[in-house]
Amino acid sequence: MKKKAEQEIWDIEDLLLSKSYDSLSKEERTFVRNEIASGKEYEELRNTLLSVKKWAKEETQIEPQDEVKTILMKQMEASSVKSSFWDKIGAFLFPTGVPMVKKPGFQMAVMGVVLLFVINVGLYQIGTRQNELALNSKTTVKPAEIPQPVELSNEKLPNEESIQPKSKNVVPLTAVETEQRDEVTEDEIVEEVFFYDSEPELQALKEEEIAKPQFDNYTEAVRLEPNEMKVLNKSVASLSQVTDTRRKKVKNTTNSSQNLAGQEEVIDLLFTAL
Amino acid sequence: MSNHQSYTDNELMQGILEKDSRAFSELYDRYSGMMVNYFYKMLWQDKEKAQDFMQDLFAKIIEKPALFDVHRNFKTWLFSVANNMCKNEYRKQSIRHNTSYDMEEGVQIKDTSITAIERLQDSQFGEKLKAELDLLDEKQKSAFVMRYFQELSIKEIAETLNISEGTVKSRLFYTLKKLTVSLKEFAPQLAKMILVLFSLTTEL
Repeated sequence: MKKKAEQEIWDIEDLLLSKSYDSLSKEERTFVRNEIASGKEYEELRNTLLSVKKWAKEETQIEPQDEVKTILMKQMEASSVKSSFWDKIGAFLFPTGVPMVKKPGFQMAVMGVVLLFVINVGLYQIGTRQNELALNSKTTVKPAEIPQPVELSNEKLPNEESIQPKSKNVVPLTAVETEQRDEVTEDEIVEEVFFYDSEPELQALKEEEIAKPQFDNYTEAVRLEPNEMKVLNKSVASLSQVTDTRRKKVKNTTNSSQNLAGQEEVIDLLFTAL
Repeated sequence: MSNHQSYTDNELMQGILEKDSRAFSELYDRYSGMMVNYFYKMLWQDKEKAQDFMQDLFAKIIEKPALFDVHRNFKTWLFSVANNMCKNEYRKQSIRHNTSYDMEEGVQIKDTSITAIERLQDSQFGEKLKAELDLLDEKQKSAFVMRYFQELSIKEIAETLNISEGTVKSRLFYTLKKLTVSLKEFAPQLAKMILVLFSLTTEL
């Protein structure tokens, strides 16, 4: 209903602009009377509308200033300068008019810091585990530190066969050094001999000692002078006894099922002493 | 340059989005005059203010062309932006001054270059009409100025003000009634003027 009334109201404008009240038809007058009280009011409205339209049309229009266009065109040119790749990246990461927390660059930086922290903590934990493993393996890796024959060149071995130990008389140099450091007296040796359980066992131990790789002895012997070798030969028996005694001591304190383990420990000790 | 003259408003806006300065130049030429006069009517016939507002309006187009919805009519969109700028200015003025004083101030801003009424031997009518326009409610005024000074259609006004066409018609009719009452003292002169004009046109 209201919509219809609004439609009718506006249709009056056409009549106001085109016809005077006297020239309206009967139907048009009836239609106009719904909104306009009298013919006089109709004429007043018509005069106002016509004069306003006339005045609006004839009124001098103001023109936009030339300077305004110049300024705007400069502004347009400035904005049309294509930004570089990094400008675009920067504009994307740190857009203006956005709170710092919502800027992608800031968010990515925070994520990066968090990732670094997490990775560092993880690596630290892994690193501590590896350290523990390394400590445990230190003892087992020790035998691998045996000096390699590669260090010795063939030039330094003129009479290789003559130097190589062939008999049981060759005493491991390690034993010599160990004996010298520990300063075992003859009395101690004599006393320790009584600890032997049986002669065959002692013999077996000696054989085992001699059967050990002659690597160390050989390399050490090569470095020694002939005179020193003589001195070493003198104390072969006693030194053998010293080493055997030590092994025997270990054997006495352990069960027979642990013989091999005990021997390994002694070997390790010897290497440690070296 | 000539190519751009055949472009539609929306095509030119697309060009502005792509930083085409010639598209902007063409769009400016099309609407700058219309908009500066709209601001002039809406903002108390202040020429300087009208120029400043027109500049700001087009600067907004340069800075944020993406604000324009390509599905809308550019002309109505432009008028709606301009109308919002006027509303903001009214608010500022109402905060600064008493409304009635403000309107009086608006009336005092005169542009002596307007001589339409002088040519009709009745300069007072134009001044009075301006004053009465300034006294109108912002909604009535904007619809009236768009309709009779910028010659927008009812549909365009409805789109610009985001109201129905019926509401536009209603506003226009009651604004006309209001002005008729205010300009009643000029009625005899107006009637005389109109008769003279009609007689002149029929003679020609």
